[in-house]
Amino acid sequence: MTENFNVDFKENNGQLDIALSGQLTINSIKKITEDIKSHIKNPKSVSVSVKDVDNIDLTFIQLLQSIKNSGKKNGYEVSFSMKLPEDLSALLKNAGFSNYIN
Amino acid sequence: MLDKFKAKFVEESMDNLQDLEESLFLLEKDLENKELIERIFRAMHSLKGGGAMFGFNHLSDFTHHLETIFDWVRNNKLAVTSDLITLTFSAIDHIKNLIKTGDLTDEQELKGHNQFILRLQSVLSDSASTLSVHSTVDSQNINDEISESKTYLINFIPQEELLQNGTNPLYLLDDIHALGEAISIAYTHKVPSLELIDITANYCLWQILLNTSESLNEIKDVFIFVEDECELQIDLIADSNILQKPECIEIIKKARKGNSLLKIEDFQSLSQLKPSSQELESGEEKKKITAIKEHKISSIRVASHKIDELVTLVSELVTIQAQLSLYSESNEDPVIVSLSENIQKLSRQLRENAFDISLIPLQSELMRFQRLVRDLSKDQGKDIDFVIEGGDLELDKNIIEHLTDPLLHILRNSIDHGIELPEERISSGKSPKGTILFKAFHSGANVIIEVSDDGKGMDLEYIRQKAISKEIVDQNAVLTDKEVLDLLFVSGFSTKDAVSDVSGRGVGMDVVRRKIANIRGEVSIDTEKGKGTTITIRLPLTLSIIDGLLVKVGANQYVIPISAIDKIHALDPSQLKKSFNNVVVLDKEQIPYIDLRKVFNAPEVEHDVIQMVMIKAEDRITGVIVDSVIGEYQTVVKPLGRYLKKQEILSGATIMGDGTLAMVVDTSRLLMERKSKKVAG
Repeated sequence: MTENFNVDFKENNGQLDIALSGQLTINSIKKITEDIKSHIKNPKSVSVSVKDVDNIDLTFIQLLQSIKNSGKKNGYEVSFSMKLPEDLSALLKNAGFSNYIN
Repeated sequence: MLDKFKAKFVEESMDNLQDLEESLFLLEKDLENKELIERIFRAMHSLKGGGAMFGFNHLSDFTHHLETIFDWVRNNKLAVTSDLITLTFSAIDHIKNLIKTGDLTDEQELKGHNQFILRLQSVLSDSASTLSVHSTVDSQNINDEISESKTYLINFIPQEELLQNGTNPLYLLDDIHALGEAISIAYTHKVPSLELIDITANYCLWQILLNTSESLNEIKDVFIFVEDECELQIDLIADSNILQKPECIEIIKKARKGNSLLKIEDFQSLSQLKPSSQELESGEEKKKITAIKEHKISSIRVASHKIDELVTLVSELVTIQAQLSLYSESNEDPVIVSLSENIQKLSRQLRENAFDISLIPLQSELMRFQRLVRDLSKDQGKDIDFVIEGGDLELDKNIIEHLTDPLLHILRNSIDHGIELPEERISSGKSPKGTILFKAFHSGANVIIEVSDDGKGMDLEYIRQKAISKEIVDQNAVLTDKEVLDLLFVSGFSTKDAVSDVSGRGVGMDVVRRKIANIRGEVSIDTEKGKGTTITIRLPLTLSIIDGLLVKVGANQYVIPISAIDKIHALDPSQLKKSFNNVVVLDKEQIPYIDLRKVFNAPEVEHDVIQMVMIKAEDRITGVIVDSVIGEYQTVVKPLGRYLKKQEILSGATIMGDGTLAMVVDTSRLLMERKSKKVAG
């Protein structure tokens, strides 16, 4: 079965860039999380970029927060950049997550 | 995963619909019951929301219209009438179809669907025009609706499992924003790090400040879906809009920054509320309406195949335990004997527990019977009250599954042939309204289900003549009343001259008896002309493991269900030799008997004492002669397979501890066969 989401990783001198797109919802979240966990070893910093999103739900927001908390715990910096279509952007803002959106 | 959620939605929706139907039946008897109206509205709201979430768009749209009707009802804008209830029942049938098939693609079906929506809309438009003339709306309600906006603080704390049930709380928060002006504060401090996170669990909670002119009910409705899966508290904090006040913005900023929850007191200086009204809203109202729910899991939903697996495993365990018992007896090691006895006790307990789990209340099936009685009686112009007693009685789910068709047939017979038309009833001095009583109760190791009607009863002479004309009995045969009624169970016998839509198509009581016999049950009829008919079904509690009496006939072992046994008698062989027509006299009573040695063609061996197992059926005792009684045996009943399926006296087989087979005797069929002289006496 083809995946309806995409996760790309780039690593350069301890800087890990994660790019996510597609369906970022509970249906794919386990796979996305496993992918991310397997790539975050001992980074200096992690940059998460989210774009071309078809759908998003709370599980994904919690994943972002979890990465942030892991960074705090293990001493690496985490930054987010999220570009969303208008409807999803409004959905997140209404749920109190405007701090995740650029 | 989505399919899993979808399947769960379908399952839950069917439960919702059952609840809806039940509430409608109750509402029909108490048209102004607010609690029932609220229950119906909530069930519809859940169906609508779930439908939209899982892609059942037609369902969601359709239920939206129905929900609007009941929203009007609960707001006293529309009265509940018998027509509205009938329309809602039809709508439920349509919803069931939409749940089964999903969104409609067939043009004809779509047309019907849209026409149904128009019918629903016309209920509202008709009512609205009536309202404009008569103005029956409670003026208080209007005043409520146009009241000024108020500001509420909503605490929404979902449980960890919320997301796994397919709920996306982001949509709920979006719905809250649709009610007015709102500011949500999401608290994410409980989200663990990557190593510890269960990614499908919910760790967030929210506080929302909402300024709205909508009622508290409207706010609560947003959370109807999740009310059992969250803590929810809604407090009125101001009689006006305070969201744009700089002090309010500052309070929110602080809460966001420090992850510290907002309290009502934080807004006291901003509030226009008089202390008394605030107390009322945050005190009594809070307790009454939005008190934090204590969450207790008192039941869980388990897939029925998992229960079947559990029962199968327990059955295997019982078989292995029998092997162990046999081994321990031959080994004579006291440790093994003791262990074996303990395992036997445990497996018996486990078996009882497993069966207890597989029991479901009869009530789950009764709803469709209620619908059947309601719809058919209306079609036939009859007025029938369907009374249920003992609906909470529990039965093995496999028995219930096999019981539905026979019961539907019995009820159809009662409606079609039993209960008379109102005018006919009046002329016979009866109430124009007929009654069908469905009664279920325990009787020893059995469950008894009685379906009685107060209709015209059966004409025994008519049945006899019909049997003669069909050459089922000889014209000169002398039959007791019971024997005449037994003719109804003969294949192809139907008493209704004109074939109706309902029954009397030749598929009669013979099929009912066969289906009931397949689940080791018995069925009997009692009737009184002019007074009514009672059909009684006697059922075992469970099917797959029974307590049996192990007996020996010739070289083979057989199991007789203990539930059928009254007692065991030791006989002097000479008593049998002196017996006439297979009847022996015991304690001055004549007891008919069946010699299993003859039934199974076993060689007759001379014994000092012969064992006769006394079987009780329909208040009569019949003896069954066996060579010897071995003892009690927990019997795992296995099906006989296709080669022996036509064997009527045996209901199954069981594997003994030493690997040999023992056949399970179907006592009711054995007695029936004896009556028809198919088996040797």
